[in-house]
Amino acid sequence: MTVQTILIIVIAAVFGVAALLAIIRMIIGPSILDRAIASDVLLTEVLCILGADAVMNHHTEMLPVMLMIAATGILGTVAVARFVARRDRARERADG
Amino acid sequence: MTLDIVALVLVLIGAVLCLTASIGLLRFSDVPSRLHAATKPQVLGMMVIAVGIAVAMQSWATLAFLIPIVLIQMATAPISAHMVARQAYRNGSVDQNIMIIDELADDHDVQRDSG
Repeated sequence: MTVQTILIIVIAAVFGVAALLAIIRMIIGPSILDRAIASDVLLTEVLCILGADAVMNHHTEMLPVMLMIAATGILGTVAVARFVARRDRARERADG
Repeated sequence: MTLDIVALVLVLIGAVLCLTASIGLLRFSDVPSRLHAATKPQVLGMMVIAVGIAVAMQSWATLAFLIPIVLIQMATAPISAHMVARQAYRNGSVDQNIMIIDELADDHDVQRDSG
């Protein structure tokens, strides 16, 4: 087993655990903003995994995808923070 | 051979930063602290992995593609963090007890627009 193989296995394990923890936070919430942050982190991890794939397999087909994710990744978070979270607060008020 | 290992170690640093962000996301208590953890892979992790790709590929074309990726990421990450933090303050999901100074509380515009 070469050093590269060991490094690739460790990188895959670290990325897997990181994505799993982000998904756990996305499930348990508690507020919609926590879920928005968790989905943002998960998207960033997808971006990093695409970069890691480019390094491991020595190809550059993923670079346009990375550019588009970097450019449009904020739209979901901004939409949630701007329009959905207000409704979240209104519902809390109605409950209380 | 050696450059491959260097590139993989750089990617590993980025992966560890992603893991740090997820652990912080899971363990911190309120929205601004979780935002603090979430920003680590968005800028530094992404930059480290971009340097790793540049080291692995060793071509100017790849480098010319990576620079806009990092610049766009650095330009857009603060926007989403700002929007989420502002809405968290207006929702009241910021823990007032651990705050030493709350300068936004004196700002009447913030209170008026918080609907």
